[in-house]
Amino acid sequence: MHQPRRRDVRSGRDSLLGLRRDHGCVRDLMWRCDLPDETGLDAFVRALEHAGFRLDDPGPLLRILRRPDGDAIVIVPRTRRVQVRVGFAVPMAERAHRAGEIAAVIARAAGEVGNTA
Amino acid sequence: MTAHERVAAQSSRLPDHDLAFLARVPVIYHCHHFNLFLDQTVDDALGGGAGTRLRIEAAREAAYDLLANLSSAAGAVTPAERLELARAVFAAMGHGRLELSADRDGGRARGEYLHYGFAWHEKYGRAVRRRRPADSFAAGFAAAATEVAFDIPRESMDCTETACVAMRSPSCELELAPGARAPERVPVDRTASEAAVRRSFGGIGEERITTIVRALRDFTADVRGDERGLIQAFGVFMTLNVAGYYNRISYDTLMRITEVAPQSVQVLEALLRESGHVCVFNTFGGILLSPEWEGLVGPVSGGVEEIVAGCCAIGRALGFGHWTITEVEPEDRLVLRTPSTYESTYWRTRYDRAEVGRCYFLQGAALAMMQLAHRVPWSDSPKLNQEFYNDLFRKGVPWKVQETRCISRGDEMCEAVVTAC
Repeated sequence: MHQPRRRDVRSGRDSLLGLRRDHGCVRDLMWRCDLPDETGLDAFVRALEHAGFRLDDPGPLLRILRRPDGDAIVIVPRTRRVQVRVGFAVPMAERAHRAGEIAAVIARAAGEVGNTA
Repeated sequence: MTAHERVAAQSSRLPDHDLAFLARVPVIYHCHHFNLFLDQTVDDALGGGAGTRLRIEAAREAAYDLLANLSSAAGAVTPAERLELARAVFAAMGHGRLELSADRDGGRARGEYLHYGFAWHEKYGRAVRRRRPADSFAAGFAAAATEVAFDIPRESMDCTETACVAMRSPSCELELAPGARAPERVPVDRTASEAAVRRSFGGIGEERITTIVRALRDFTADVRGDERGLIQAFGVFMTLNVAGYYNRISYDTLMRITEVAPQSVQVLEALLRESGHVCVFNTFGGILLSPEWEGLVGPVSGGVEEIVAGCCAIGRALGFGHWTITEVEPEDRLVLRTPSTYESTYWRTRYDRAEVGRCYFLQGAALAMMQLAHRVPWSDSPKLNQEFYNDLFRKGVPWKVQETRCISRGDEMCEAVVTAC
């Protein structure tokens, strides 16, 4: 998964929202995608909670959701940046794939929420 | 009470001077790039054997004060309670997992995910074969933990790392045994820090910097070791460490080289400054590009004053001192002043008045801030990797730095002046 395709989330449930390695990515642990402008944040976060993530930090400046397996999603409301943090226990060879799976969850959540901003 | 809660309860600051303390012992955050670079600098200067020895002794001294104070505050009385406290604090500070099995005659310790060895293996392991163990800090910490646990004289327990993940062992193994007692030194604690700092002041953009510092402090207050005992944040492995460890290994090395190889002092000073480049590039840069910064402060646009002010805020939040901007002229000049640095606090407490500025980290950090402010394309999502670091700092840096005033010299502040070459 070197250059994932970037597709409009509304055009398909498998879009990865421009998933790419984030600037501080070490050993495929940190990835980035971007939330479409029209997606309502509160509804989006609720959709992620339904998908198995727990909202740890509900602050207005940063929302952090985690799963028991160590994966996390960090959302910056003011810029709609989404950082995918793959759990460190995931073997190196599987981290890119795991990031893609999480991005697909994010894209599905955004797709379910639709235009709610 | 969890280890993180215990650390939080014993944390304090000199609020006008941005120095941080854990159980009244000065502490700071540093990343693995800085930690490995400074250790390597010591080894390069002294040789691997003497470098390892110095680092173990420095860690033992630093950790003893920390653990003795924490044990006292926590009411940890029995050896088992004190060893458990040491294990938990070590992990909470991001140094990894250290299991101690010792008594007053010594014993063993086993480390997993020890910060230095693990990070060295992550950074260099695929390309370099290491010949010496990397976890001198853990060895010194284990020795101090044993001394505190069994009420035996400080600086008397020895520890040797016999296997290390940096040397491709599956785990780190350490052996403890009573050794020759090293002399005690003047303590550098909160009281000494309060005596060393100078009257505080502000600078350009003070209100904005102060606001950012508050937000960053709130954020760092929640930073803690994960299940491995590591703190992985901003693309680096962070540690909360005793400032005295860094200061002692830096200044003892400087003293030794001044004595035996004075012709090499300038090279060593340049390397100590470079540790500031390494820290600012990796940790400060990582923080500036993080979602946390984007959320708390906003996306970085790349203005010179914006970057310099952001770096001052980060330096303060990490406990480096009350860095203020006195002058900033894009492409030309930066003047940083501070009434406190973790380096000058240590120097003033332990040494005679210096003849030259001794805040090498501050000097290197100031220069690196100008390089980051002018040569990093912030809006293009730059990758802060080793290749980019080499481009920025190892192919001719267009800045020079001088510490024109220093508390270690008896001045009322430390002042780093960066000018274009």
